[in-house]
Amino acid sequence: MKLRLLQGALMTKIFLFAVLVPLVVATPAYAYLDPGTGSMIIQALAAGAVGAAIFWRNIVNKAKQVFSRRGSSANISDQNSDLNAQ
Amino acid sequence: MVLSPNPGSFRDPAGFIFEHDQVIYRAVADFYRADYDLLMKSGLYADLTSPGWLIQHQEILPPPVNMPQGYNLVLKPEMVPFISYPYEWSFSQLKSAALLTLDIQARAMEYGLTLKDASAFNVTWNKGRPVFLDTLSFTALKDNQPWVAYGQFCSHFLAPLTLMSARDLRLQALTRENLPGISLDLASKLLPRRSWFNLGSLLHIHLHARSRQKHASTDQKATATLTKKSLMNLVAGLRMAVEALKFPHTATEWGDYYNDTNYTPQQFQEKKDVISDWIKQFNPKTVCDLGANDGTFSRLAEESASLIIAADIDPIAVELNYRRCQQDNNEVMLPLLQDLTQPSPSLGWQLKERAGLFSRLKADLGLALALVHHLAITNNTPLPKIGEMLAQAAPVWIVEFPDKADSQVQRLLLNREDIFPNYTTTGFEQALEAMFLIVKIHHITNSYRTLYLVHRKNEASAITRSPDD
Repeated sequence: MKLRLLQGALMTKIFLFAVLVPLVVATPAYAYLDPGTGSMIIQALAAGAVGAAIFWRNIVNKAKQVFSRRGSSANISDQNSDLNAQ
Repeated sequence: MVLSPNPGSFRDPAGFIFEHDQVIYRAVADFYRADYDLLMKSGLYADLTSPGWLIQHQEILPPPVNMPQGYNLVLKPEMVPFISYPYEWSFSQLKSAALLTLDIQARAMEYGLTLKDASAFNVTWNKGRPVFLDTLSFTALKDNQPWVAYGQFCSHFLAPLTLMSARDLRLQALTRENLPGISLDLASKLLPRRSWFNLGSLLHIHLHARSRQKHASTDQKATATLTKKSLMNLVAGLRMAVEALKFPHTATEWGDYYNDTNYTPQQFQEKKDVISDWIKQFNPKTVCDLGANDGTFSRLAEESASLIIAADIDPIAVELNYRRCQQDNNEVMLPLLQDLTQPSPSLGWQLKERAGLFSRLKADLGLALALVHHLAITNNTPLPKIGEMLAQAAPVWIVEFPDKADSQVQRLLLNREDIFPNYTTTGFEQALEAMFLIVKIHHITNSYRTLYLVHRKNEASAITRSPDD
């Protein structure tokens, strides 16, 4: 169930890939590595991406709920409780 | 009484480990006391120790020895009989340890605390499960503060797991060569291109590596802020990324490891019966099985043993053993990845931070089945050296010797010159007798294999040789 977020949302992946990659421009790896700054900055992006993915999945689920004839509501509450459990 | 801190315990000033009268203690620095009190009083400690996630401890008052200034609290953590390291675990063991770390971080945040480090060495295996050892890793969660251990988590867990899953299991060896964790720019270089299209690898390895490189030489302090909800999302995202990583070999490749032996079912049963019988005579508490494969024969010691260390060179066999243990809720088995021709060395600062295999491996009884021919022929190890190695780890051994007519030995010799004139039953017995007394010999019916029960010499004066067939 948790994997569906990643597996199901190919569009999200493509979107994130296209948007996020240019945000962080690669530089040559000659500098002595600072353990902190880069990690601090990227995790805001990473947290945002997960937030966006969860938001996106909720929209998809809502749409499914509206358009499907039966059975999907149970599925959605399943997924949500699963997500909360994390 | 002079107090000597454990040589692997010096990085975190919040405290240190020391040993006194063969008991392990943890000293807590006064300046860290507020964080420790928060862990205990918030309810987090109880919540983490009741499912066995965090090691339990007692506060020892007064301290067992005179403490240096600035250390007024001493903890006595539950004893873990064998400390194993991340480079000795199978893929799924490392994955379980990663998930444990994330689950602890998620739970800590609920109580207003956070992990200040996420080293894979904070976790070890005890009673069949991963357990978090570092009681002093918790600190109060400040508003809008990013997770300071995020980079370390990615280097210690996500990078090796992703490399193993997406590139090659053997890249786990990088964790042994890089105790501070695998540099993310190296992981990024080694990963296949398709990993860029996986959200977890893209964010936490590839972009993370580039962000670190970009900001490595900056003079500016990091200004990133994360709300608690964002931090929760980050940890949830990491958990999904770890969960999604799959063992890179399919079940068909490792269906039945024991199909590849030359034993008939009757001979297989005979071998099992003899080994069971011999183990029972000694009632061993700690057993090590070197060359354990998937642990089929290690399980024969389960009746008496509280710890079975089942080591094998093959990461697929160790994985298979671990999966069986999970299915059976096995609380005594510790599957361990170990190449005996180059066992885990002493590592780290002054080679004292991480202990080598043989300084940790002390068992009551050892099994070495279908092992000797690999060491003697594939690795050209003289037979007496194999005896010396065994004698280091346990006083009693059950050893299997296949002679040159055995098909497995024939296969090893197929394309090479036979430079092993001493590789005979007599040669092997002579080699054993340098270190051990041979107590029992059992020849497996209609095979070229013999089982020996041997006892280390200096402790075996009362036992005489008595072949049982």
